[in-house]
Amino acid sequence: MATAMRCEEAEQLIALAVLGALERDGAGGLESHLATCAGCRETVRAFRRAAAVLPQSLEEATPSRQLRRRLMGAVYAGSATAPARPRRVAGLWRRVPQARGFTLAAALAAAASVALAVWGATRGPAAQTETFAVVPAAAPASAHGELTYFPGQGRSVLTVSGLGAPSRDGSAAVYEVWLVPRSGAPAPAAFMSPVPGSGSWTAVVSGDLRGYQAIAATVEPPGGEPQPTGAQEFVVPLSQT
Amino acid sequence: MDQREAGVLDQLWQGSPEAIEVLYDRYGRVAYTVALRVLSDQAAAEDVVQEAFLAIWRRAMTYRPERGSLRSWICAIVRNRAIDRLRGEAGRGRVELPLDERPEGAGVSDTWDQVAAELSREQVRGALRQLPVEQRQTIELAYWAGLSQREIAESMDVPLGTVKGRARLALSKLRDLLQEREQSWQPQ
Ligand SMILES: [Zn+2]
Repeated sequence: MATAMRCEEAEQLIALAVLGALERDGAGGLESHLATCAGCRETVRAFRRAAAVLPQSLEEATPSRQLRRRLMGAVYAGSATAPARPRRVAGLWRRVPQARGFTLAAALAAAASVALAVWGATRGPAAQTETFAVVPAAAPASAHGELTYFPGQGRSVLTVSGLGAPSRDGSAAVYEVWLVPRSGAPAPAAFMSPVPGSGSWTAVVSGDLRGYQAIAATVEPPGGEPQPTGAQEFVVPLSQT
Repeated sequence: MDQREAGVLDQLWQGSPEAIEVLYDRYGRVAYTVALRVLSDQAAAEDVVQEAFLAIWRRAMTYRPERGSLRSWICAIVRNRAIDRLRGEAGRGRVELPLDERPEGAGVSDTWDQVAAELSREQVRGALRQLPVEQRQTIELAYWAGLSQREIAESMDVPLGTVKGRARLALSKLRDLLQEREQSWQPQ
């Protein structure tokens, strides 16, 4: 094929571009070559994949625990004010290649189960669960909900309706959830997040509930606090465990 | 991508914060590792990781499964932002190639993501060690230090054409090595 640029030259520019080093004024002719050369379009894919393994050569480093807290605090603070997004389950799934071994039905079932944010907990039948009622404190008396504990997975799902958007002195805040031991200080356990379109809030609490007398929630500044600083919004007494 | 990842993407689309929590628990370490490699500064690296995950959460960018793994997508976002921070204006104005999607239904290489995911650190390092040192340095300066082709030529004191040739040879060899693995790969 008569193209102004030879494939070898095109491959050089592709390699530079994939590594992030190709300047705009050095790319002349590449675009038109790619438009007519399937071989070099394949090279784009292959070089991009080759470069994508470079991070795997690194010795893995661990960020501080505060990073997770900061990130999730910012996300949860933002989610309280973000508009609910339209469901696009089917549209998203159509883009997943069939060859990966999914059926649409299985995919939708998976999506439905993860909507509750119970990773793993919904895999099998929830044979043994314990349920505890939410008791409002500073929250409106109409607030209600429950905590479902999956002892086999060491996880609990908390769902509460009738809560307003959390705020402190008029600025955005988060609902922070605490594990309250029989003695000693409460431990931070999770943040509540709004369930889009439902008006309720949910959180997943990890860990064995034995040894705790209650789960409680307070309103805290974005990012949360290591110890509660706000009043108890609601409490879930764990009388049976 | 496994079923769990597919579920996370759906959740992300619906705006569920748990999706970011799951993504962070899965890829936060590799994201931080990439940012730290570029920036050599823990606080700056953490800032970049937080920005990147928040951008993903705000759907500032869209993941397309047919274009590669979730892991490499997140690594690319983090690396771009880290280099932006490291180089400022000097790191911008680089060419991004059009993303050519995998041909419909051809199944060209669905095994690729699995092959790449199963590569150990030692295997990738081994592949890099097989490259001549000047090719390795070219990768280093471009990919991790964010230098442009001209800056690499200056810093290695070679003509621009040499830099281009080294970049092509380096990626060709990595590609060939990985393709060998892909061809002999068996699902586990
Ligand atoms: Zn060509």
